[in-house]
Amino acid sequence: MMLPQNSDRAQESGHLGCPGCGEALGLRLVLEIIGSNAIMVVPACCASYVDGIWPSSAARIPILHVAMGTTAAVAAGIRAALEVKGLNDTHVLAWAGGSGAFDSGLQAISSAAERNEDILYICYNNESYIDMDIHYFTSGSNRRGGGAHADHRRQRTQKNIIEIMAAHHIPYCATACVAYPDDLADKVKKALSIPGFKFMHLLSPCPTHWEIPSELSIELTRAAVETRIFPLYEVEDGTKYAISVLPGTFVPVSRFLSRQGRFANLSAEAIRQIQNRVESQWRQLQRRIELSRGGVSGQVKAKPEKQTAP
Amino acid sequence: MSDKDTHLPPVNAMPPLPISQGWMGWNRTGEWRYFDPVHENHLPPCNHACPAGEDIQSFASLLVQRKFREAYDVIRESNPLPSVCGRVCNHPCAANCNRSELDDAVSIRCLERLIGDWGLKNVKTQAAVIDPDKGEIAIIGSGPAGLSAAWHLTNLQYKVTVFEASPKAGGMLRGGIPEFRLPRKTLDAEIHSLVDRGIEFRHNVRIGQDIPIDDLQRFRAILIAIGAHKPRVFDIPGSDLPGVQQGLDFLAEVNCGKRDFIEGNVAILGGNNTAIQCARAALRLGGKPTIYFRRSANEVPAFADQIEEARQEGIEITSLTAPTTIRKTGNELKLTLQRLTLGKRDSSGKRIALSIRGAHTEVTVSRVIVALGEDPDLTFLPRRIDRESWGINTGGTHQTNVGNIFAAGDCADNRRSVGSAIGAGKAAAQSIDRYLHGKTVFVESANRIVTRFADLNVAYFQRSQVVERKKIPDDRRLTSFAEVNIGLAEADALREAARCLSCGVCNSCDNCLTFCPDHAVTKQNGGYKINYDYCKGCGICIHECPRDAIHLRIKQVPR
Amino acid sequence: MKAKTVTTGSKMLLNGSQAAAHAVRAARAEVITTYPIVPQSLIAKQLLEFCSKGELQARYVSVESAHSALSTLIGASATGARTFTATSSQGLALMHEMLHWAVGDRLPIVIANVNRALGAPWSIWVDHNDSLSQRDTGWIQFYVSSCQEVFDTILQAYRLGEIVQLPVMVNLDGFYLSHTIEPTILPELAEVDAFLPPYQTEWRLDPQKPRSIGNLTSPDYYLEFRYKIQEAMDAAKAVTNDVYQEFESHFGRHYGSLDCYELEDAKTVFITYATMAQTVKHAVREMRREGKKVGLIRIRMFRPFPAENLRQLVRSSCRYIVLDRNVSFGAGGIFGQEIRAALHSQALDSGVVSITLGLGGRDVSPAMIKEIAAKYSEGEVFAGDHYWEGVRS
Repeated sequence: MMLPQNSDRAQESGHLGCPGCGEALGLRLVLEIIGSNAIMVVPACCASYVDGIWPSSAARIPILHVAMGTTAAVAAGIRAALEVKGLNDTHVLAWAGGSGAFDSGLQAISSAAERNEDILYICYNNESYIDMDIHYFTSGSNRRGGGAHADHRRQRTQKNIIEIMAAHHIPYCATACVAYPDDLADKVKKALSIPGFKFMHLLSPCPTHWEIPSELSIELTRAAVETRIFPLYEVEDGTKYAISVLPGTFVPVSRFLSRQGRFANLSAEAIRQIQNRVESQWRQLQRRIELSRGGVSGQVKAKPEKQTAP
Repeated sequence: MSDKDTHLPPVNAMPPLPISQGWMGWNRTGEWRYFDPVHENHLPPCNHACPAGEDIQSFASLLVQRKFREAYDVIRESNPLPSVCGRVCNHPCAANCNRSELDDAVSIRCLERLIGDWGLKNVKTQAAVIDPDKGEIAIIGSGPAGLSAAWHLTNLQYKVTVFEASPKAGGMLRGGIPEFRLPRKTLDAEIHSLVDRGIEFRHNVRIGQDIPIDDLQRFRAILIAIGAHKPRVFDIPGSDLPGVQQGLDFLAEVNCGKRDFIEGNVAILGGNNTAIQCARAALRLGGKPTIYFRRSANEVPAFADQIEEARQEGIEITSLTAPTTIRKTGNELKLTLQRLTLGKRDSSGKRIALSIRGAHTEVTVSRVIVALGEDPDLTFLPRRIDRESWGINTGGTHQTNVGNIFAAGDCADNRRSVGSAIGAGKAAAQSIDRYLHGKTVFVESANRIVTRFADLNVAYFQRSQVVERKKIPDDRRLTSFAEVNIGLAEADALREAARCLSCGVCNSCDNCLTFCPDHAVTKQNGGYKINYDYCKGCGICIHECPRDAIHLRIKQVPR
Repeated sequence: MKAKTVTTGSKMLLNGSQAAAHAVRAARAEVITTYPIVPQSLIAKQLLEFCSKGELQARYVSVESAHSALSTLIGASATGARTFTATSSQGLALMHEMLHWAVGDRLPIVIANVNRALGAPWSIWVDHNDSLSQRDTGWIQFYVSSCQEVFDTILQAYRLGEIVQLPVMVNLDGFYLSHTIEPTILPELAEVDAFLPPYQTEWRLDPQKPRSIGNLTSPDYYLEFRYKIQEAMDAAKAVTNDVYQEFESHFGRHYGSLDCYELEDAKTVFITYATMAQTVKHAVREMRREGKKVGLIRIRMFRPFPAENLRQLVRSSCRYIVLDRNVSFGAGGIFGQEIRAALHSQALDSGVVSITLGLGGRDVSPAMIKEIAAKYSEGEVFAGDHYWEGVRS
């Protein structure tokens, strides 16, 4: 088969992402920063499909596709091999979906973080597999969830993966999203400049699962930040917290929730509870920032102005 | 073995392990698409609103890049008088600026003024190349419409002669606008640049009086741009008393330098721009002017910034008052005013002003200045030319019913603003050119789609405050004819230019390229190219374009 | 016990674990991972010591699980490094998913598996269900009987695996071998280098030549890739013989995939593997002295299964007693099945008796072997018959 052989781009067109795919976009943005001297590990997740089907790949750098829970361990192995070969300039990128990081992959992540392996681990979270949507649910029933899977979906708050990683005292961890590409680029650059284990939680829209028109991919991801559902911040050495993108005004969570089909059945009460939770989490984050400034009560932002849902 | 298998490599041609052999480029994901995103600029509302059709987005963008010369050239493609317009235009551009829905409209006139002044200082206008075969055009009147038409016709390589009744060109710009709004040196310099361009001015020639209009037949076309200088009839008891003067006459005197001290109260009758300017001029000459206007306060027809500046200067506007009689007592005039109230609506929806029985006031004034509006003086025109109550009828085409006679500006238009006159001059020039090329003269319809605020993606715009232009200090402002408004400093103007949202016009922000999940957008020739082989039609580029410069088209037939 | 100072090119007293570690050192493995489990721990300990003393220039990654131990090696091996881990029992079972992965990516990883019974209930003692459960993963498997063989087979494993691009599992019995000290010859490192050149492969992750490994593969190709694994397994049979010969020329020790003892005129032949074969050999020697015509075939290589070699040795006039320290519930001893299947085409399988014994470290003594010989040498047996020995009645 004749395949295109030369690529000077981070990611080739022709990949198998759905229209409006946040994962494909996020990966391209990240790869553009990382450059060509890197090796990537991808566990079972959308990316293992999106990248392409043998004998082709869409990424400019080599990828090792591996089993779900193994990403960090495999990445550590690649780093080990590069070290013994003296190829220390080569970056190792772990690129895993939400489940690969939050679920079965967490054990290996924890271990690699504890050993401070020189890896950049990015969990692109499209909220599709780990059912983060249920995170926002109190009723546990959404349109699709009301069917056969309802009882099996998780009905709890999603774990705070950044807090988990910060507790490992790794040199750098951060949240990012594809709607703020400059912020994402800055964080990737920063992470690459730091030796050791770096973790990023990248919110990555999925029109298919979010049940949104594909053109709203970016807008709703931005809404996640503006509503404070997904604050953009970073933590250095597990203690130094800083907000990197501060939304101008407090936007009600409904701005994020109401336009997604997956949240179609959220009751007003459920939305109110989510709003309270988001505000409480935001206050916690602010306290951590204050603490990391040495307890000085430097308010990041005044008390949120209450807004009614549109 | 199926048919498909015969096209696939045999096992021995495959590597021992599933290691990729190339990239995914073979996969033409463009086939998934239902519609095509297309980069296509729409019309910014400022441009749409500008009677002269100035490409404001373009010169603002050039200004941000400090490309002053290019910005100057862009303005002058539409308008030869940016320094004048930057001062006296009522800037409908800013009134339509989408930014006003975000925070404050961009102060476009300040940008225009800065660029115009820069041009006057730094650019020597080059003489146009005239094509003798194209013939000559006569323009009657050197107001903004005449000047604009002359400029555009010259740019179209016609030899243009402008006939002006006064000793100096400028029309209403010179006679009707006082220096505190438009310094003479600015006006002179800008008119001089038109002389440099090769336009011939013949001063002190009143067509119909000094030369019959029929003597202009050697010209291939004639443009009438005489403006509107004939005051509307003011006829009440005492209106012919000495001390009662028409506003335009008063302004003309003041603008010629006849600036006698005025003592006591001055009554200004009317609410148009002339009235406001008369009041402000009278104030500067020592008088205490009050404006009396027959309709309600929010119906004052003068430009809002004029009214605002007059109020700042302490000039009172008394609405719902109509003069009834003027009497002379000694050196003073007694002006009787009838108080009015608003009654029922008339057929046009306006409420009728009704007299309040017995509600009279009398004011003692030294002068009464009348500014009830002006009409064009068309007495010199041959009768065969069609006209309406307000002026020459061209049906919007700028061509009269006599083939080679055209008309533009206040004499053929009741919009009555400098900007509209300049726009009309430009349109008339195009009409004349089309006529002389044997084409149909038509009313140019706005067929371009205008980008409105709702079309923008405001997530990409930070709020910012307008840079306000400054005024000279009150002690100088109220006692001299020095220009009231000070232009923006260069740094402020650049900052203000950067506030332009570039509505509808791609300014290479790269959002479409950055956010394309399929790497289907690339840069090309300073713009962008969409690779439809791979574009999946997700629509992100359209949605995330901050400025409505990418649009959806039904997918073309398969390539 | 404390490891003695190592000198090369000499005979040392080493337990099986130390022998394994010495082999890894001699092979100059570049990336090593371990996660401790009894009775594998001694290997991990010895390797850690080598690495920390600089006697082995390898990156030693202390991972958090056996699953990660193999996953990490998959990353390292795919990047072109020579890799090693050791595990046992539950650890190997946990690795199962990644055993498949290593084969699919054709990575010549070497594992030393210290055989131990699987729970529940807990047992730390030997049987072979842990490794035999992995028989269909595509790993080459050796079962060894002595400390020397541990050392030698690990070197052979690297040589073989790197040629045929398959991972290799070297199995040694928990405690019986891992903790038993025997005199072991350690060759000069230079001699090992001559036998085992540095690992080089064009099929690796290389940013200079960016190719992805293990992409989604459609039904159009998956079958072919699986076929290629089988091809490699088949090729391994021939390559193994070459490796044995090379090994003998370098080190003077002869190996085969089968090891025969007293077969010449034997009427009853035991077929077994691992340390149990040593016990049987002892019993055969005693029975021979008693005039009984018994012999032994020890199977060293389980995958690929040396069926052709076996068929050449088997005669229809002979009774074959297969001793399996394992069981495939519902079917019988795993070696027994494999042997019957290998012999069936020539109708030689009717003389094969399959016996499961010694599970979970239960002792298999020479006396027991003699009893089994007496009990099963005569009488009719049927294909598919499976017997348990040692079960208390």
